Amino acid sequence: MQFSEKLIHEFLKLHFENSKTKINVEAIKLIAEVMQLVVKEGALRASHQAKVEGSDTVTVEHLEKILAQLLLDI
Amino acid sequence: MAEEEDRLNHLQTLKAAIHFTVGRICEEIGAEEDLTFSRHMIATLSELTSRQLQTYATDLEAFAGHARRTVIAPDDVKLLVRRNPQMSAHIKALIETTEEEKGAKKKKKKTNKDSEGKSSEGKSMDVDIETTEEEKGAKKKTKTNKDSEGKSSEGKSMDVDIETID
Repeated sequence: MQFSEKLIHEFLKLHFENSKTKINVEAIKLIAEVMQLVVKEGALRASHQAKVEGSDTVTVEHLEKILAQLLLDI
Repeated sequence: MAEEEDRLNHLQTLKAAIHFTVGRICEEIGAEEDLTFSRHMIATLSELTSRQLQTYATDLEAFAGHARRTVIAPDDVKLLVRRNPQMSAHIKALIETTEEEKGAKKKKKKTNKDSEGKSSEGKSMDVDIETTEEEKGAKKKTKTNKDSEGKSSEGKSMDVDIETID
């Protein structure tokens, strides 16, 4: 599952300070790739935490535990 | 105020789309790891993703502005992920492969153009060689099998040249 390029483009546009700012098609693809990796990394770390704790459901608590390190790494 | 509302509505729509994508990615990982992700967890992760993307937007804009550009380029993305070594290497590799593909496409276009041009220039090139040989009297062993009719006089001079070499 990939992030839609249109979605990335629209979302970024909404948060640009300068309305004149544009973005290269290649750059959009790369950002989509980065975001996909960010989500995967977060989900995988949380699921590893869940496994370590012997749970078969990944919960917010597992996410919270890995969140600090995740934010530092991405 | 209405503009602000529209903007917020648009933002909500996009966040919902992000939530959907994040949910799908978590499903895939859940299948691999044989785990289920709670709805609350997925919602939190998508909120996190949105927030991160927002930060990236301002960062990328700043990077492009720093380079005196208004268009955000792949180099800006490279700078964005510089802190994480694996991510940085991965993005760098992606940029390089796309550049190679572009280079390969340009080369293909060039070689196609060149081969088309040569076939029409071929005849004129032979003529040029003949005239220069006549003028300079150069001692070259050229393949003149094709047009032997108009070269009876030239043939003699050629023979003479070859004799002198020997």
